[in-house]
Amino acid sequence: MESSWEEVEARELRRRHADWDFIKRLPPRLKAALTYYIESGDLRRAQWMSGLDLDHFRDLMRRARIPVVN
Amino acid sequence: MREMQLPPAVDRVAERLADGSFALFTETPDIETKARELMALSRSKPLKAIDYPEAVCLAAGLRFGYTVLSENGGAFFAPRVLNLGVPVWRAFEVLVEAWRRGLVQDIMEELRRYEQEALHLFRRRDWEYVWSLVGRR
Repeated sequence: MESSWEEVEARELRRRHADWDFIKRLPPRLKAALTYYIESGDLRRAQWMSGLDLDHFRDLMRRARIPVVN
Repeated sequence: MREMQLPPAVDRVAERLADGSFALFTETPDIETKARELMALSRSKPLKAIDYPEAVCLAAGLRFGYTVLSENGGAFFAPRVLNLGVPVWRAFEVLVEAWRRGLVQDIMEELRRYEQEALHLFRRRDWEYVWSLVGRR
């Protein structure tokens, strides 16, 4: 099981690498979905929140420079 | 397939399906039942939620003895937390195995390249593990 220390490590990496200027300029729903992903690492719920399909949500994550950390 | 919309992934899969190296798997009722059982089980444990697509992969891996490929945290930790006899590999395990088989020469360089290209970062424990492997050679 992922330890709480590892969850903190992953969250910090997502926060540090994210392009926050890009994220802040997004429409509210997309901004909320990306912020939720950065904080939780829960890809499917973040994608659902965004209203995008998974591929387009992953593309949005790349444009926002948010890394996947597993 | 339902989740893929964009190139290059959709092109790569179409090509592999066309040349016969990939096959489409459609879940059968017994796999679906097992998948829903795993999803329910995951909710009673300290585990990131396993969603249906990952649960189907785990159920199929259990049923047919496959290795499951997934970057999903819930799926990756499920075998340990739920005591399931199914291996789950992330890109990290795939690249390390490729290195073990001599398909990758410099595993450190390959992992770094993957991180840059996929914007997919490996954890410190993964790097420590691979350092220990390289150090043994």
